[in-house]
Amino acid sequence: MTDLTVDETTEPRLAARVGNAFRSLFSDGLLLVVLIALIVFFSLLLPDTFPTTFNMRSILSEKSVILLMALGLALPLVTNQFDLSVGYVLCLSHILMIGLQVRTGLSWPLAALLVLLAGAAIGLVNGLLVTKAQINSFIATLGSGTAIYGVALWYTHGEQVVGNISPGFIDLSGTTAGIPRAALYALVACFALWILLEYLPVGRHLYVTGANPRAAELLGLPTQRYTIAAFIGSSTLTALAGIILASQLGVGQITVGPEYLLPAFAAVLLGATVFKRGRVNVWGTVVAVLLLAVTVSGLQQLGAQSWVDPLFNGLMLIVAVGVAGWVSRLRAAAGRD
Amino acid sequence: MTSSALEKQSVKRTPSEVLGVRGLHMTFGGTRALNGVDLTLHAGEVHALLGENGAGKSTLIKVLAGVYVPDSGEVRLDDEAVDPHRSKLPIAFIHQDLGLVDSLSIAENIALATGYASSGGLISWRQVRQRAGRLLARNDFHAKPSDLVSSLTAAERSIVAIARALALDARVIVLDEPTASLAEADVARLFDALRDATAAGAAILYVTHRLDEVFRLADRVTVFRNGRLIATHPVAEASSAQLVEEIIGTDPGEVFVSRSDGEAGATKIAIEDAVVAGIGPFSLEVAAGEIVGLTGRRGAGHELVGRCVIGDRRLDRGTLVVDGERLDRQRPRDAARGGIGFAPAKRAEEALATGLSVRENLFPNLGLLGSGKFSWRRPRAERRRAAAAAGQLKVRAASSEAPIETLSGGNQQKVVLTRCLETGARTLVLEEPTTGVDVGTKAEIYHKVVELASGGASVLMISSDFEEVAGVCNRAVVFNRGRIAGELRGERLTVPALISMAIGGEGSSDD
Repeated sequence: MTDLTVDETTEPRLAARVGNAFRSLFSDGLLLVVLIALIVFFSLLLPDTFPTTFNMRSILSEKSVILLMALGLALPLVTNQFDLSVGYVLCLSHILMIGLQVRTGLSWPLAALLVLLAGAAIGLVNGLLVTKAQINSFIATLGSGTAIYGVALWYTHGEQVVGNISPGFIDLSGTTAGIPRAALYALVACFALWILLEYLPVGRHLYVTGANPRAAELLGLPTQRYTIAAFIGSSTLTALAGIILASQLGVGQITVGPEYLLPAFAAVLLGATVFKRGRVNVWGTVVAVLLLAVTVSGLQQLGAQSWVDPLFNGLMLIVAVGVAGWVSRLRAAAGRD
Repeated sequence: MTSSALEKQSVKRTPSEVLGVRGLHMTFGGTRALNGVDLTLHAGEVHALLGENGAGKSTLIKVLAGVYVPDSGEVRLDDEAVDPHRSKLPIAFIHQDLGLVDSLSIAENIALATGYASSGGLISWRQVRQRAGRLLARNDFHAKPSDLVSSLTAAERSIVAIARALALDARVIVLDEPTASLAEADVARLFDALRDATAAGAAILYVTHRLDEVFRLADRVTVFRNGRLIATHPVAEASSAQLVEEIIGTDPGEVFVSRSDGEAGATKIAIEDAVVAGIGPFSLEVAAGEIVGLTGRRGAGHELVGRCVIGDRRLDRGTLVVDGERLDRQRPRDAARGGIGFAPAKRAEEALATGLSVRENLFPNLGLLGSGKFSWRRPRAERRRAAAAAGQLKVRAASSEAPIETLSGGNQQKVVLTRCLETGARTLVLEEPTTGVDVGTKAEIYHKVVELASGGASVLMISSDFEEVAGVCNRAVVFNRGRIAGELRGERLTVPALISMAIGGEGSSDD
């Protein structure tokens, strides 16, 4: 037993354990239950179009970009900071990825490297604005994001960036063993971030910084460095998402990017209500991304128009934050008994 | 309703009772916060209320304010029973924070309470300012009604707060430690303002920890202890020795451990000619195996010393040496790595990672446990270590995975202390280590601290709890208004000696 000083008397054995497992499935794993229910529901309702390899594949490849962004966003959110610039970072990075190849004539690996570095540099600036200039992260990243959008607009003059792209780059978003490669990259990123947050000291330090920055500082943690690193991670992962998006689209468009911000945010915050109750975590984020994707896809196949997507994402963000707050208040109340 | 009758109350009948409480009883959980309290306030008097934290002073004030409803007993105004919970009484409460809005002008702050003077539905700013000017004219007060409160000195702010209370026709003003953050010259000005208020017929209930203020200002004094009113004296007939005895009672309790006055080891912390934020200059040494108490009334300066040792503040002048190394430029990070453990007084704000588990709060900085930032950590091993660590001080929690905020204050404090022990810190800076902690837990904490010191650790205990300092420390350095008033050790380290040194006008030392 790993318990400290537990009141054994208040815990009847087997019945309690089954009850606890049941309860934790519905409080901790509620979102997973809902996801499975939705998949079953849409499969029964749309047996010809929903449970198909084609549909699954398109959901996976499309949502991998959002998942990568969401994983990035999770880092600043763990340290209790917002990064609103990622939508524009996605926009600029996918444009640059195409532009560096067709306009500058760089090979795609070199272009990809430069895009990742640009992403990291943006994150560094965001991090410095928040820690050194002490600007609220919401405002700082809203400002920097809009400025990035300006740069993207200047680079494209508002026109599509198109041209000859090497087959090798397009192949980046192909399939391996029938699975979209984008999903595999996202899966690798999930494992990497999961290990970082749950199994490496860095993860603990990031969570402590987010939970109480003042305490973290007094405990001897370099909180500013962690915060800056979180922002760098966020925009670098978004730049990676931009590279994959560029490979999928084959063109760079100024209008693509900002609309990815909200679903990514909704996924991280909704994901915080699963598995680790009230805490931003990797697998919760994955479940939330899939839940949003499955619902929107199912509704659209039932004949809903494309406006369902933003409507649903917006409402889910509100519900996610509402539920997260409610759950943590319930826990606080339960803990006080 | 009696309110029209109240306003006609003459102030010339002295001593006439304005406000009184009879037989107040109030219980929280198993604690008797008030146990049969009878108290009367006369018009035109300053009535001082003395007692330790938890003696019942603030409970009484909250009953008068209608925040708490007493279990039994009554509040009487002009000899008629009233219910503060239901009706608004002519009592103004001025807490330490004064309740002023810094970003607004003096006139606006007064108008916030009295209502804005208006003409034709619009606020008449001229009248608002004139009214404030009139209210403040009687005091030795130089600021203009249009000045922002943020530009005022601490004393001027309290004078504004008092003027505002009088503008509301308050017949009783309750002040809760108003001088805690005031310099001596400001205290004198505040007292003048209070005397003006009593001359105008108000009764003042003055809560304080400072005996010297009682003798300077008050007409009568009442001492509380453990929820009981111990005695009320005219100040002219009271002696400070008698008051101190009444404050602390006769039983110091069995909470404390017999401290070992063994030989002190090598010097661990040495501070020389230090000045920080107007405190000092002071010099101080702590040896290995020693528990040194830094004490004084809140705001006396002792709190800043610990903050310098842990690198949260820097000395303006002077030197700080820990383990033979000069550290006057260090950050909290350097201190933590150098083996200095810190338990802050403000647990929620500065120590706990809320939302995280007990385990995560036990090991928040894994770097101090010798693991690199990217070295693998095994959750199972950590859970085992958490259980073992929590066993040291018997942390009571549902499990090591329970969120820290579900623990009681005492258990949270144990987690914070255990955290320092787990890093193997050999120098501990403990700020108010037993605030909000029950007596049983206090005893456990004290035993642990003494055990650590016998093992060679040096402990700097920053505490405003004199009983604790006298009961646990080998030596106490007493601060009084920014200076070291003296040092006490051995048999001379007693609560009365600490109190008289901490609040007295002059310090003495046994060196």
